[in-house]
Amino acid sequence: MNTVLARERPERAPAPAASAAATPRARDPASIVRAVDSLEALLAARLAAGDDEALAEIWQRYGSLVFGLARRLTGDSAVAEDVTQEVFVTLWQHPERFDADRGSLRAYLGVHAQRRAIDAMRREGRRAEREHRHQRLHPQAGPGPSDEAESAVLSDAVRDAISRLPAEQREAVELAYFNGLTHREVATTLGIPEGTAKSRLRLAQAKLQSWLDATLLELV
Amino acid sequence: MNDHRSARDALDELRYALAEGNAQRPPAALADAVMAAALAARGAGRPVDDPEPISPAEALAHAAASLGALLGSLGDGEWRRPCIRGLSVQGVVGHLIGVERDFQDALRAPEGREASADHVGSTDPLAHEHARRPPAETLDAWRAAVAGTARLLAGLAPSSGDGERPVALYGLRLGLGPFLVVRTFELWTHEEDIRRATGRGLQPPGAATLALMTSLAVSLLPAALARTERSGEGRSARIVLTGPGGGTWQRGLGLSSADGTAVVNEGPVDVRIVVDAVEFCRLVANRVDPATLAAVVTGDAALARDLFVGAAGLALD
Repeated sequence: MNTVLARERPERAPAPAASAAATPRARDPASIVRAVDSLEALLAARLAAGDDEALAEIWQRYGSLVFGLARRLTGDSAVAEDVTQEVFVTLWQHPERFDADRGSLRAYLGVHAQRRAIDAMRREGRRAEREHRHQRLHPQAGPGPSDEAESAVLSDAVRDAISRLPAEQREAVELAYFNGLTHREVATTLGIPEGTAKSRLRLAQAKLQSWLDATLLELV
Repeated sequence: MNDHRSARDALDELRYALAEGNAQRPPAALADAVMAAALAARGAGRPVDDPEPISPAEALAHAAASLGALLGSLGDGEWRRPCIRGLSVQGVVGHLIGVERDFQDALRAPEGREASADHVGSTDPLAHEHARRPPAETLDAWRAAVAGTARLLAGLAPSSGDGERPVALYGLRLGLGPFLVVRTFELWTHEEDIRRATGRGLQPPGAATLALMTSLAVSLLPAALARTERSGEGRSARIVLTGPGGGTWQRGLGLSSADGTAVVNEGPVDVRIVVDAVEFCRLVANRVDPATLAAVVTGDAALARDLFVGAAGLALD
């Protein structure tokens, strides 16, 4: 908790009253990232302390993102509402599972919304399967719910950026990202040392971040 | 973003940053449904790691055991180190022996009679006397005094009402339970004083003990504010204490306000304060400067400042 950090992004959360007169300082991007990290760590600490206003703030900020994601993935408003509720109630019950050092609250909620949406789709799929037993004789070809979800979320911009990577890096990213492999599994699959796989992924990450920055600014 | 984030984490950041472009406003009723479901799962104000409650007497026993372990580990030279108020570590332990004596007197005193009003003046002779003794003697005397208090407390029959009666000491008049929490505060605070004096790392109490300490401290905020020139009548605060032993309280700040301990009330508040639970306890123990307390304050900053100054003034020293 630090009032200085909260001054960096007063628009993201109520700023300390003591900072109201503070003149905004030059925005070093790295310091803004740290400020957001700290702010989100503070939100998580407030949730853990039973501060329901923190949950309301998070809802205000990310409710539309989570619902939009769930709605898009499931194609069903009622299921999307259930998924959204589940994501936020779980955050309230287990705020300690969010680690601000690992990533943003937005990505954390997005990942959980996606997982739960996929689970909901699978549940729906199982129900449909029970109702239409004959379909078992004709297993559905093509992408499963997980693949559909991935492709629904993955934007063209990210796809394009990945396609511009050198072949070795692209291969590693595709295995890690699309196939969900760990770095070690990527190395085993490609028959290369783990360190080499990590190095390729690191290089790819740096390139993706630099290439996609402008796109991010346009789309957010 | 930290270096150790994986490529997958970075891609997740990208994906969900992009996904914000597809955000869709949820139905208006969903916000209420989400909040209601969340609060049904865990009530507002309740910390997620709510510890198993312990009694004030158990908290005091834990604090005494922790301090005893520290004192038992000190070398002779460390007993002579300067600590607080011009006292050496040994002088502080002598002071604590005096406090045990005064507290026992207060427990034995007829209801309404204050055993001693002056916390420092009453114990200073013992503090200075012990500063000249061999450390082992002081340690033995302190352990004997603590054991005497424990025996006295164990002898208070709950059915007789002894456990409910007010204890009057050092200008405080509190029920026995809250007074034992005050004593827990004191032992922990002096343990930290000695840790600082001897270059040892600080050590917060366990979550269950801290929970008692934070609840008491929040309940005393109207009295704390009354020590400043500001009236708390008609004013209210939301206090969020983070970390183990914390919680969220929303309470009035007037002396006539109902006790808001562990209860979150609806309605607007004048000030919101978010601060680490241990730091808040150090403030109440007057071991953190109110001006530098690492708190996030929203709302009436001047009211928050007065609350911090008043809270630090609660300490007996």
